[in-house]
Amino acid sequence: MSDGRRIGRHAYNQRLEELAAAFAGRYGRVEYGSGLSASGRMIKLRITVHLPGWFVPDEATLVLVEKHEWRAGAWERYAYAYDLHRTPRPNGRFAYHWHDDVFHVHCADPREPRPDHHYKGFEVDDLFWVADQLYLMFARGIACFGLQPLRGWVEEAAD
Amino acid sequence: MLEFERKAFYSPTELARIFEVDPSTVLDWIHAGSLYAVKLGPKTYRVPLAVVLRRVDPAAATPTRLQLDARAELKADERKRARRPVAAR
Repeated sequence: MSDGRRIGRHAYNQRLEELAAAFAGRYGRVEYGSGLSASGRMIKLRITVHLPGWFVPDEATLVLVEKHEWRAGAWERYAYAYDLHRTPRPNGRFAYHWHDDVFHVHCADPREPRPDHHYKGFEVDDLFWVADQLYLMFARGIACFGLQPLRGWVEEAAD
Repeated sequence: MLEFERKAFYSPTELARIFEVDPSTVLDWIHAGSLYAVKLGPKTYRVPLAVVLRRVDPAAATPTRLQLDARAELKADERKRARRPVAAR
């Protein structure tokens, strides 16, 4: 399966279906979809996994979002937001984001609230890797230990 | 919450414990065809995990496709990206 950085139109839809099917048997209830911009040049993909998702109200949700732009005959990823939210919100959050050219991590530990929850990040290519990381964070508890604060950057828009 | 050990197959007795019913009820479901089971012998059945999950929560086993309306958000992205210098893309 493609990592989704640059992907053809057919492969994009195929990847979305494959991801949804793969996540459905893995963690919990899954909702997924994609939406185009009016111009047809941009597309957004979202997969929401409800944890544990079997019987009780969710304890957490994984929200995996990718955005692609149509460039030179393929969908090219230009942003992503891979989030874990403990529910009910706000009750802790951990996320890997890339937008406005900045790879960063959001970490909000309700036991240690801080004014800024942006930290230095890195590029994430593998959706399964990130889902596993976020699931581990859910299982072990959200902790911001070891992260380096991201200074001098102000996020333009709300996530 | 309905907690149970995940394994490949369950016996009717194990399922009865999970669903808190009598084992004969599970056998009734199997005989009536409302619960799929693999028949290993004259009186021996095993129910696959996927069947159990579908029984517990049908929605959990099947991903739900939603229509995503992202037009406003993507339009803002388009504007933002159009303002950027080409070399930085």
